[in-house]
Amino acid sequence: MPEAPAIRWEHRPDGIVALVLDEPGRVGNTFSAAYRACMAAVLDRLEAERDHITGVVITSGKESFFAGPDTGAVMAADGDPAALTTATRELAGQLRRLERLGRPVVAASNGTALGGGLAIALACQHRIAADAPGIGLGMPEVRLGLLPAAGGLVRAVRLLGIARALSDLLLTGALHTPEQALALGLVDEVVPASGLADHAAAWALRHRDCPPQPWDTAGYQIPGGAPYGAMLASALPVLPSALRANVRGAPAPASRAILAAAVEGAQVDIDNAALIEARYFVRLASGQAATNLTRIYDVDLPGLWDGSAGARSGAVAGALSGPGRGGSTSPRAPSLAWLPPVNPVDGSDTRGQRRALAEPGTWAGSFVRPVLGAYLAEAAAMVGEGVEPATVEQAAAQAGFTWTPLTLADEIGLTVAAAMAAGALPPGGPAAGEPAAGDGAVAASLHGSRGGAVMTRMAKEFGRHGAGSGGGFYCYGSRGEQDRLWPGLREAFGSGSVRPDFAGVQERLLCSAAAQALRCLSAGRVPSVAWANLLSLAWAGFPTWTGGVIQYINQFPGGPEGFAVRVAGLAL
Amino acid sequence: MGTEAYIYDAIRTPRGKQKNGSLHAIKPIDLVAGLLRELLARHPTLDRAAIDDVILGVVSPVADQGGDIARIAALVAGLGQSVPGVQLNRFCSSGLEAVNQAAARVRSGWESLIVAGGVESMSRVPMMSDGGAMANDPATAYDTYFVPQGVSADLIATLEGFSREDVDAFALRSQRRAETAWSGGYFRRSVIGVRDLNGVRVLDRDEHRRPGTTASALAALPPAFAGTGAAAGYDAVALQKYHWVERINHVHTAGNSSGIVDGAALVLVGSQRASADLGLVPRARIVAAAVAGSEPTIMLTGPTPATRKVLEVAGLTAGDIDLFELNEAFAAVVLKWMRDLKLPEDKVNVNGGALAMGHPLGATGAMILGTMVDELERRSARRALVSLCIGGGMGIATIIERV
Repeated sequence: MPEAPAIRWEHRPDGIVALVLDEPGRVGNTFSAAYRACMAAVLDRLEAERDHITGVVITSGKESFFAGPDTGAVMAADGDPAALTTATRELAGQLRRLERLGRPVVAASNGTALGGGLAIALACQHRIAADAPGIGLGMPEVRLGLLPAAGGLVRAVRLLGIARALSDLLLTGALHTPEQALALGLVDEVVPASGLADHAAAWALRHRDCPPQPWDTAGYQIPGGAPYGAMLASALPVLPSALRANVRGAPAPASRAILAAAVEGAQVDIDNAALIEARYFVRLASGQAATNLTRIYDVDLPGLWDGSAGARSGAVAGALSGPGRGGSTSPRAPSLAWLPPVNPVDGSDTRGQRRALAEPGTWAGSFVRPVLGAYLAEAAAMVGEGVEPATVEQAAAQAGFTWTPLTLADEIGLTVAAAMAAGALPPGGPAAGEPAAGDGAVAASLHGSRGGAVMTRMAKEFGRHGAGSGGGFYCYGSRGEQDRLWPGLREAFGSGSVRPDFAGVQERLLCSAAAQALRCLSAGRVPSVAWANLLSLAWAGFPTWTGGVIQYINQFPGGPEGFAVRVAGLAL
Repeated sequence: MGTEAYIYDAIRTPRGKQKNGSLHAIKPIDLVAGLLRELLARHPTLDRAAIDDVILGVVSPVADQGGDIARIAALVAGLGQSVPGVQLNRFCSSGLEAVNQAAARVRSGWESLIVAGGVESMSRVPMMSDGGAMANDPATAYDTYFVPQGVSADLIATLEGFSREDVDAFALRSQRRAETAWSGGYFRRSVIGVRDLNGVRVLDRDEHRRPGTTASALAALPPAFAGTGAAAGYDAVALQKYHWVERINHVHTAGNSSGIVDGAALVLVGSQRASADLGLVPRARIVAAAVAGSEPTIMLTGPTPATRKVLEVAGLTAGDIDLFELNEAFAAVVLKWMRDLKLPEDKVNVNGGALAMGHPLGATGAMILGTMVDELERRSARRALVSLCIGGGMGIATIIERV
């Protein structure tokens, strides 16, 4: 037996083999090349020594049980789908061997178990989670633009049924407490952490006959039925439309693939289901969105955030409205949904990053405000050109912006939004001696001034100041709820008189914000590329799939140079 | 110049309604077999062995109406083992597609007599029960922006500016015209009553109709697709594609959408030689046929390009056509077709349509073709154009000429 550095082998006198997942040099365990090689050796040995083995207990030597995919390996395989397919299939094949060892295998999850951890656990006959605060169990791969591979998705569907697996685990990427996981049926028991290993061994000793997995039992049916079964057939067409509606048409390759792999896999046997799962995984791993999203988690937000600034949410609102401009409106609470409490890559806590991003201090005024201003101005400029306002809103939503611009401008208030637009930096950056945080005083870009003029005209000429003042681009109901676009827009701006290419509208919105962010970065208004990316996601609602505003520029066709040419062409 | 294709006869069952309908206890194979026996009875000189094929459209070809019902119905009806059969599916146009394929095969000269038509027992085999990637495969439905046709019809109304009053008025018109046609005996020659296995009469009339309905009764009906459009996200999907539309105006109801019914129809298509050899008398000539593809999310706008195409194939203009018949899948579909092609109201769906009488999916195309054969004769008119909108974004059109 070769020494297996990523998995320790401990053979107890009672015949129980404890497999301790503990890859050296890593914060958490992942599906790394080392894991894969070790697991292959461990399986060979388990099968060879089976007559001397009563059962197997899998636990972790780390604080967490097991994290997600080895994103480094995924990225390294970019461009070679055949190699990545082989590697992914091997992971799934190993876990299939494990669950058919003929000896009871118990997962003793001592800590947080993310997608890979659950994939391993679901291939065990019995799953026990330690009861300790802060432990999360889930499959957050969707947040990385990926899906749970290694049979994780396939077994989740077979354990929970298509509908519950999708809604409670796969599409949301939600992390569950041990108690929630127990209620969901993801784990069979929750026990105190101290007795976890003994409890697991005791279960294995009591189940030497090794019950087969449900899906390997004759007559097994997927809970809730197969796709063409009576219960699900009529609901099937709703799944993709509900997803499309939910993501508002924004790029969602991971959610689409998860939905497809879950439904398609449920129509074939478990091994072919794993094959389908692997193919969709490889497709995602080869795509740009997964690269971008994974990169977000590679960023360590260092001491850039000066906690002593002490900004609270109220102060954030003030900062966003610009220095010297008290008592104005905050756009919305920051969008941090894309940053889950636990880093899906290594299982580490993201509380620090979340706190830092929630209170961006002075960067809000100097960076977020002009970026948002440029975005809102570009949208307003297009309305002024005669583009259908509905098209502008759809273009933003389908590009993946968290907040559509006309809705957001209404919420900020059109006069404030116009001032934000005026504060955007013109091409070439700010003149010397300008204040670090932009205000309405500096010269705006061409589109910024055009868009600002539209918003100013809305407020001054039509008396439409925004959501809080009886209406702006939209009309609002008696309780302040958004109703429909203000019909007067048609007459005022000739809505629909121009019908630009939809992708072109999206590009203008993306490029306006990105160009402004780049100018702010060059002007030292944001401390780093990483901060620019993260602030753009959290506070400007820049599309998550891009990985952030600077990453969007880096991946632009032709790279940053291509972006510069495009921005010049768009006169942004 | 190849052989011409003629219509020697066109018959149909009455349409049984979905809820507590008279045909619910009648198997689809018996609907077809009854019509086949009637065809033989009406044409005593017709040598059944001369029938080259039976082509039947079925849109949900599973369960009772699965497994090539055409061949089995031919056997059940006693056409003899030499008469084969084939089932086809081009969604809602299947009945007319069967006629068009029969005509094309006759014109090829390879075959001379084909029974074409369709059957659908919607009360027994629900719509969509045959599955299919269009709606049921998530990757496909996601990528193609699939929405159910009711939402598509409402989108047409939204884009065209058809109000609830417009579509209800059209529905009322359909009911009134159907009532005039039924009370005037216009369908007498074609509608063959359904009898049970003992020969007892089961149904003689289209029973979905509401001849006494009023504008206010129609106006009181709730929108049929607003709930699913919002809850299932279908509105959002459609608007993502039709991004310039702010919201969908849900105008279609159970009253101005086609009825879900059971029924079958057959058309006897043959060459001139069939007439000479078998003593059959041709009633109409099939002049031209065409199909076209259109935008699949709005799905139901295919009749316009199909109509333009068939007119071009025939070398005719709309002005050369005396009667136009477009399946009333939804009121807005017909209103848009009339607007696109500037068709006069008094020439379109003159005897009512599926809003009043129902749309037995696989059979409808053959049914409304028969309606036009009858009406050309009643009016001594010359040409009719028949069209249907089709799932997946298609249209079909056929021009016939009385002889």
